Amino acid sequence: MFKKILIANRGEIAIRIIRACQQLKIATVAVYSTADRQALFVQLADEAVCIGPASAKNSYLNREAILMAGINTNADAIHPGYGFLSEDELFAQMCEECGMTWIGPQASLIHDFSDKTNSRKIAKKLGLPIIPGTGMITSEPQLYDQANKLGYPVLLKASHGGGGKGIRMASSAKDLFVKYETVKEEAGSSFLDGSIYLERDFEAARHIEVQVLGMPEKLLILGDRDCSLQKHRQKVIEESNASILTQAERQHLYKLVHQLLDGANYQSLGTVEFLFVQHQFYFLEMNTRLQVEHGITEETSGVDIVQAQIKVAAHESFELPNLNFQGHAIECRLNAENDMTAHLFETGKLTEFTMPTGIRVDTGLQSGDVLTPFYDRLLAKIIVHGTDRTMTVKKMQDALAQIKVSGIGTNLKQLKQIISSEQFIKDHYYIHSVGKMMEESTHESFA
Amino acid sequence: MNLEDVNKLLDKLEQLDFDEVDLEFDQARIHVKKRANNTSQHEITFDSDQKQTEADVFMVKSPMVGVAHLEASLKKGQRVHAGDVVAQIESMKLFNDVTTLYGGVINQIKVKDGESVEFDQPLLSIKKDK
Repeated sequence: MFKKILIANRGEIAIRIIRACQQLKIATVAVYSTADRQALFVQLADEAVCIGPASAKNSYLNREAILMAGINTNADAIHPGYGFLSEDELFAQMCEECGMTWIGPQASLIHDFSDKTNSRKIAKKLGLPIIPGTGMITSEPQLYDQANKLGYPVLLKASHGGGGKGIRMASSAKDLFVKYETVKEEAGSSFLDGSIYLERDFEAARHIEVQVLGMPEKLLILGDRDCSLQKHRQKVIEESNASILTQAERQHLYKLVHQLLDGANYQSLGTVEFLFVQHQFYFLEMNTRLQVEHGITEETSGVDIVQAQIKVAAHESFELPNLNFQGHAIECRLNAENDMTAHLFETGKLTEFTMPTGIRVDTGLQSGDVLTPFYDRLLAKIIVHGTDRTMTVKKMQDALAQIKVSGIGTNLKQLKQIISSEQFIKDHYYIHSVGKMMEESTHESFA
Repeated sequence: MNLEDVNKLLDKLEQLDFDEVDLEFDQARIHVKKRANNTSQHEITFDSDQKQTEADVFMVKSPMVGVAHLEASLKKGQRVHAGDVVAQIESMKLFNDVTTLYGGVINQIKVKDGESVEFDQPLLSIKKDK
């Protein structure tokens, strides 16, 4: 087993990984930017190394600085968390070259499955249905030509995008021109890669994903999640398992995942994402890393996903308990945002930060912390688990009622509104539902 | 986003410690660059031993994570000139020169030769020429 793991990430996920390491009796090294000097994850790690200034590009995306921090502290493995360098094949390769184990799939598998264009090609070849879309767009005339062929609305996507960045919907050719410039720029600055492609946009679709853990002899499926409730293409509320699926649909879904990965010798944690439209699954993409919403799967499967991921990377043989999915779990992402515009990322000092008790809350923050504008807007993940969906929804309503945050604006009101909406309670929602609900409530307040 | 929102945002940003930031909302993109007054790496620091001359002492800090290699001849009390290489930081087998922004006399050497250093770590303090 590893003796010391460097965590190449920050905030709540760095803390989640530190906790897993503590349980496995592994020492931890945090790396941090000058903006995070006072952060909780820096205090909780056994050692901490400042790797650069506030801008992510020069700190959390600075491969050399992170590797040198690992070398200087004698770390024997690097856990990348999610975001930042978690799906950077060059970094994965550099870790190995510097004598540290990369806690993730090998670089060639990141290349094949994490790159959205590559993974769609592979999925198509292996017979998985994919969303009608294009290959890489290399010129502007090609962009408009391909969009016309697909039919509007279309989604413009950056090959290395994700988490709502690098994705835009365009409803017409005129709209497409504007969005193209935005996506191109975002892709360049956030993901160090400028490639763009198009996809057909569906209205009444659900986002369903499957959690996998590749082991030497087999590919384990740790259940599925419904992540349809998204705002600006960022997941806001997730459920495990996806309760709209029938047993037959679920079996078919898992069969598609095996079809994609059985021949790949994939030995790490991963998530395969699908759109579910009119009882048909379309392969969307794969994430070759730990995901933000892994917690709800831990609740329903009883598996500590982060510990399992570390053990697989260390080639430890271990037996998982018999997978016997229990009850239902829901996660709400409490984000910092301006109540007025509902878009603006609010920053400032958290003068009050009271989280619900008796349930799982994953956060990197505490009262008195200052939220800086450099990184993401996630304040906390509120995770509840109950014997059935109805009870779990009720538990989440109670949990949200206990939250008190002052000093900065949050999306708490919206979360409460969604959780109590008829659409949510009846499990009758789609990927565009949050946007529509928010639009309706804005109109109401003007009336 | 209206003008008032922009003003509120700028007020908020004013309180935070950064040099430059790009912000993007659904219909607006904002680029904010703060005037570099005390944010350079050779920032003036206050050394408690040097109360009388504290404003004249400045710190040379490591620009990166790595291993510090000090110039062999470097000693306390030695005179250095602006632009002199005072140390090298080894990172990924590359040696990166660290120069001093000001001339003066070395006040204190804060790291040992061959020691691991992090970003922004003080390497040595220099009593600035008047």
